[in-house]
Amino acid sequence: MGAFFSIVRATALEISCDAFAMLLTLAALALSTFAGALHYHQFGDPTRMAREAGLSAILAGGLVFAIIASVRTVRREIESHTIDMALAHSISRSAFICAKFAGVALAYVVFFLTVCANSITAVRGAAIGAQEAYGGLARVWGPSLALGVATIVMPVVLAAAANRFFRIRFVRCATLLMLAFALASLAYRVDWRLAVLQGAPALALVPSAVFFMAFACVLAGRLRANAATGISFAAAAFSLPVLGAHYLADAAAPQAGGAPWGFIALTYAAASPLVVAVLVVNGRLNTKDGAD
Amino acid sequence: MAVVELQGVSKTFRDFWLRPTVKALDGLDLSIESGEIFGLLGPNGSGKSTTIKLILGLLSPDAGKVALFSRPPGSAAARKRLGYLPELSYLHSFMTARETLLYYAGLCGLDRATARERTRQLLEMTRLSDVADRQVGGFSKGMARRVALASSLIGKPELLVLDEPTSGLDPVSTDEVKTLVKELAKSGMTILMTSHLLADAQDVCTRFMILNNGRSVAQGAVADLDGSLQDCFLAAVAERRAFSVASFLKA
Amino acid sequence: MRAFFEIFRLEMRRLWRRRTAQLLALAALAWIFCVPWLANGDGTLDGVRHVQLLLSLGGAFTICCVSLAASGALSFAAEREEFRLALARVRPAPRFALAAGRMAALSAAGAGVLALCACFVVAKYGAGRPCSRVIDPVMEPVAAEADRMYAHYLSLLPKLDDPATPEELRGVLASLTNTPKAVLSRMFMQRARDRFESIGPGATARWTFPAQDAGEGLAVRIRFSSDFNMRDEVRGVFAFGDLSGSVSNITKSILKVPLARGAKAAGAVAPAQAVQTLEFANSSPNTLMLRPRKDLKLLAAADSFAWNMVRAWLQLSAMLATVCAFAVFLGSCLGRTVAVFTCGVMLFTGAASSDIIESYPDQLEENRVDRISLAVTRAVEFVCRPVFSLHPVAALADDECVAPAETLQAVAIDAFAIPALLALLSALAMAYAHESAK
Repeated sequence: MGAFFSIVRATALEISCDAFAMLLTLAALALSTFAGALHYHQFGDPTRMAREAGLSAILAGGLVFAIIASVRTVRREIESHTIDMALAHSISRSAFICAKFAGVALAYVVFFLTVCANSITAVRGAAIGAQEAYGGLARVWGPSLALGVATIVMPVVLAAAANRFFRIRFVRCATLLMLAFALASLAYRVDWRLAVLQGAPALALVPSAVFFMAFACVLAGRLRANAATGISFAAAAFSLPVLGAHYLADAAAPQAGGAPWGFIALTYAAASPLVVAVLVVNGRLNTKDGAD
Repeated sequence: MAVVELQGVSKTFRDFWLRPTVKALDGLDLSIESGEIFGLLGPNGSGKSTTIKLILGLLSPDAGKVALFSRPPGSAAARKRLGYLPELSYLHSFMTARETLLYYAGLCGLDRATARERTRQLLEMTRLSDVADRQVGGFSKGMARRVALASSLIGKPELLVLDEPTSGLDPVSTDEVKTLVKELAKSGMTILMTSHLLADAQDVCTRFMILNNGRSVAQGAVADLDGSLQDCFLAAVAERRAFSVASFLKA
Repeated sequence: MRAFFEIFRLEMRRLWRRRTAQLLALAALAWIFCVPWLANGDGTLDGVRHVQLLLSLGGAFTICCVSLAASGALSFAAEREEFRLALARVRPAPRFALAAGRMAALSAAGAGVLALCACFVVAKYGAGRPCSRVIDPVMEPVAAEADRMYAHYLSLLPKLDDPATPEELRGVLASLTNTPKAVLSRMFMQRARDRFESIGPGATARWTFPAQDAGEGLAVRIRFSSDFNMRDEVRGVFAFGDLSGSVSNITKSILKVPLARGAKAAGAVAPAQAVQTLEFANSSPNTLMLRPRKDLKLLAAADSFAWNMVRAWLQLSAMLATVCAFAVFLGSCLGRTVAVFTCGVMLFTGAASSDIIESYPDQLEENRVDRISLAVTRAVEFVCRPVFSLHPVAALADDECVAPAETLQAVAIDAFAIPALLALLSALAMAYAHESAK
């Protein structure tokens, strides 16, 4: 078990130092912040637009994060032959893939919390017009936009300063500061109803990312990076319209009776066996190949 | 005529904030005459590869002057007369050995017939004819090294720069490379090679320089390689001693 | 030139032997095969065809753009980071050729995949299907109309303090007083483009068009709106010289009315005249509205769908060449992760910028954040115009001709001039790239 957790920890740390993860988080933050703050359309429901922008950033960003982080971390181990060193330490190939999957999932938690917290702040800024449908929320446009922009800009500036003066690793520092700023922004005139209204549907988007994480990890263990990424993205692209229409439409609609907990439970119940199946099939194939 | 000329060359690598991280070369003077086999010796991190990259025009010096065939090192005229074997082979894994040689022949501007003929000769010389149409991604380290060596010779260079030419080769192949280097020098080619093995320099080079911490600590003809120069090299290597076995065993 | 072809072959081999090209072709064709299950349009035959054509070719182009841009940026950055590029750089090959060869190979691979898709689409929708040349009405230039509106606005300004001025007008004038002239000009230009014309019940409207040979194959494409409904009942008769066509429709918002030789001759024209009048007599019970600059076109039968597909393919390939060149340029100066990410963000913002500008009315530039972000969006849109202002797939889907002049321009600029410029910039960047890689 020690070797398993070492790989999980090393994978999570490796992804937290990866510029790709930081850039993707920044892009998702920018999408959820500005789609909520700027009124590009003159009609419609700005609150819903901000909510959907935040949920889209979590869904699409999460899928991209899951696939690219999984493929990169597994392929890097295989191509640099560090996997041989790990397998020499009495861990099986399928357990190694599972550990990699768990490490990516851990890193995904940071991404998810950062973007989700930021989207709650952004919705706060856009909550105008249809307040009744959202439980009489008051709009806090200026401070919300300022907090959103600060969550994007300040971590980069502070991490750069930390790197310049204390030689702290820029990417990891920026990633963690983004999470800290996003969570701290929630503290401004806390509105827990909004946290539940936006946070609960966001939770429903996690299983899809986790499934593609497992799928990409398993593919990367068997195929080249190009093929694993291509197939995973193709699968995600074909399922995205279904996921988007289903999750976003159902989850982002105003809920009179609070969060759609039943719907969220259903998504977890549907995804869990799929994730387990992918990992188990991979383990079986490895045993048949004699790779263990 | 000096084929390679370095005068007071310094190079410092800097980080993103332009703070100096490593002073790789410090006021280096070097001159290599035509037809010489010049050895650049020194322990790891002494500045050998940086010197080579400056000569190749891949890096620019912070101070001093670098000239190759009396021209700036990056110029097309200078590059036309140059062959280079890097420390690692850096081959395109999806290409075959033959395609790799034809590719570099094309970059050297050889016409197709000449390129094909020279490719055949080099494949024979490096004993790769049987595997010439296999992708190099599946080659052993030694075979990949031979492909890289052949590709450095494809343009019939006047100056051949060999960065650790025997690294990754078995003793027989090492010996063959040394013989090849001597034969090439006899045909009039100037050769600059780096190594951290004194024996390589003794076997092949006509003149050499010992580098340590980016400075030249000794230089001379191989005939001068007496006890004092050997001591100089060993002292430079000992300074970089990386392992402390005794303290580890004690712990 | 030899070095250029060697790099071209190297990159082609990489795309083929790493299975990138095959996967790309497979993905693009799979998408085209799947489109009929995904989109049905408005249910009419033409609607289905329109949507499916738009989605299939547009989707295939997007897949090619994204994949080849990512592949180009990644491979070039990886070559640099893994020192293989240095091996090419010490040979007497010009650095320009190292970048240009790669750009050309990526573009050629993309063009090949697009050609496959185009052949499939032509086979499916019919090569001989006629496409039409689109003729705009002869009207005062938009800028001149906007200038007149601005002059009128200036003449109204003194009335702002006049108590006799209606409250509504005063409100409008007051809201515009602090608006900069550039914003007002843009706003008036937009108004001029969107200016509606009303046609009351029983009324006849007239517009002029460049004179056409009174042969067969002329049609009018028109979109009417009533006050509150985009799909109200439309009835009436068009007349153009000795051609006429009647319309009676309540199902579609965009109508295509074929003109045929009929008894009614209106607006007949002497052969020497350069313009000809199109008349519409409204016989529906509603007042109809339309924006002549946007909603009214004359369609003249021109060459076949297959020929237009060739021109559309050329335009798409040229656009792809610019995208690939940009990706390679980014790969030559940035690390692979940052290069791929920057390329993705630029593609996304470039594609979205024109939509954002169009959907954002100038009156809403209320605060500084809006103004700054729109200025940035306009700048992005301006830079990306060579690629994203071309809409060959939309033209094909509408059965319109892809203009030959536009195609030539796209090939010259997008396929040659911009990639050449970016290859030069890449060559410059390469000179410093190894230094910074240390």
